[in-house]
Amino acid sequence: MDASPEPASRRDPRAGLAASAMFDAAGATDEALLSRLAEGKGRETALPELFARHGDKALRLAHNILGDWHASEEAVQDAFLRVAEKAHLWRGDASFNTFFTKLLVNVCRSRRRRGHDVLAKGKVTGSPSKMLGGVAASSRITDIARQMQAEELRRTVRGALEKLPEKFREVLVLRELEGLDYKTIAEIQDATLDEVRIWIYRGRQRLRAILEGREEEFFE
Amino acid sequence: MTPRAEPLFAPDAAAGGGGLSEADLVLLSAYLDGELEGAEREALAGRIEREPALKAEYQALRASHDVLIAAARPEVSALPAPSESFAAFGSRLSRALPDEVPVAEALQPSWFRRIFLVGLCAFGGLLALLLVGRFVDKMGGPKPSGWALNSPGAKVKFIREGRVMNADGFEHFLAGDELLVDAQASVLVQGPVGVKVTASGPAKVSFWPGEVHLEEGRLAVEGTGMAARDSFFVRTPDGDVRANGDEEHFQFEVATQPAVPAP
Repeated sequence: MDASPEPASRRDPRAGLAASAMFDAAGATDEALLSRLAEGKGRETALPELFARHGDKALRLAHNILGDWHASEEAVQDAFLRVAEKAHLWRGDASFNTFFTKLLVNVCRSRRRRGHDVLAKGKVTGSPSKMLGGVAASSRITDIARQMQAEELRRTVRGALEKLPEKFREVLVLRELEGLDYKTIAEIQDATLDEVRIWIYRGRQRLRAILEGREEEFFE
Repeated sequence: MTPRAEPLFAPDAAAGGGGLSEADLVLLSAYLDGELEGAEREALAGRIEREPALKAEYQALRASHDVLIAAARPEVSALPAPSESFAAFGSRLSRALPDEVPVAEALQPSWFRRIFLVGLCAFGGLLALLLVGRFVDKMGGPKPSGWALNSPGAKVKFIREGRVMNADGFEHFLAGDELLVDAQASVLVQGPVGVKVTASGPAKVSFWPGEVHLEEGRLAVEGTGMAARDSFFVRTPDGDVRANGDEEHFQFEVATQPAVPAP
């Protein structure tokens, strides 16, 4: 077991780790822990420490993408296993958060495609457009929202998110619900800033249209 | 078939109206997120003040943004607690891992090792070039510049210089070839040349590197000689959608609708 302070380097978080015979996971930066894993070490210290630090937050993100708590727990566990398997690909040019979020989004995406998430199977009932009464004026969205019960509104917006194409939904979740900046989203999505700008805009437009009962505009 | 040349932005914004272009609205969305800087930000702020249509659209965008945040950003207290199994996962993580996981090479090899590796790579590259050159010279004719692999049972055909040929499993193709793919096919095309792929239905086409265009129920793929790190798009009538970002390869899965026959 590792047990002494980690000489984490800000310039190169992987530097010096190989020489460190003793390792204090609790005192190390995320990136130093990831370096440890990249060297094939720390599976009993670094990985559990990263899970302890980021597990709950990751669970919230997975839930925002998948919409199902149980599926989200499985996705997060899967993503942490992938951290150990993919750590050797990390070159120190991205934060642990970016590296891990990219893995987690990929895991969630795969699960959605395999139909593991509950929302995508249609357990959310009721059409958002019906619930909004077909009111089309965008300026009235906030008025409509105020008239709805909190839970009803939450389900309505969640249902609308579910109807978005995968990429639009992912960038909107990362931006609106996780509060990530465009640069980080671009790194996670392996995209350019311009692409992220466009996806977020189009996701918003599509979401608004769904909430206003105008979604058929996009399928004509 | 030449891919449709689409502008980056649609000329008119469907939801915005008021003569606003999609480029304006994309900027507006980025402005709302505080993602514009300097002159770009100043210019747009001025326009919002001066142009009523832009101002109205900004307010509508902000309203739907606020509703989304209020409705979908979960309150931490409202979320269920993680299960006991999840909470205990940290202690089980190491046992859940396979015995062997890939390990990164040392970041800072010695100078001797660096020189040795560079020399070895150069020698290997030279040898490979010589071997490939001799092989291609022996074959004669045009040089193969890529390959396509289709799933068993799938029907994939090549059109080369007007002749239609069946593609069996692993097939070399040439620049200018056209691949016809049936709905059940799973095809991987690789190579930096301009080969075209047409799928008649919900085929799975992986193309690396290249671009994918969806037109009137047909999937068309054309390589553009891009580098491996360049961008890849699936363009649908709904807008640009980025390829899935899988680390090992880029994969497109586009479920197309059959073309509507003319009345």
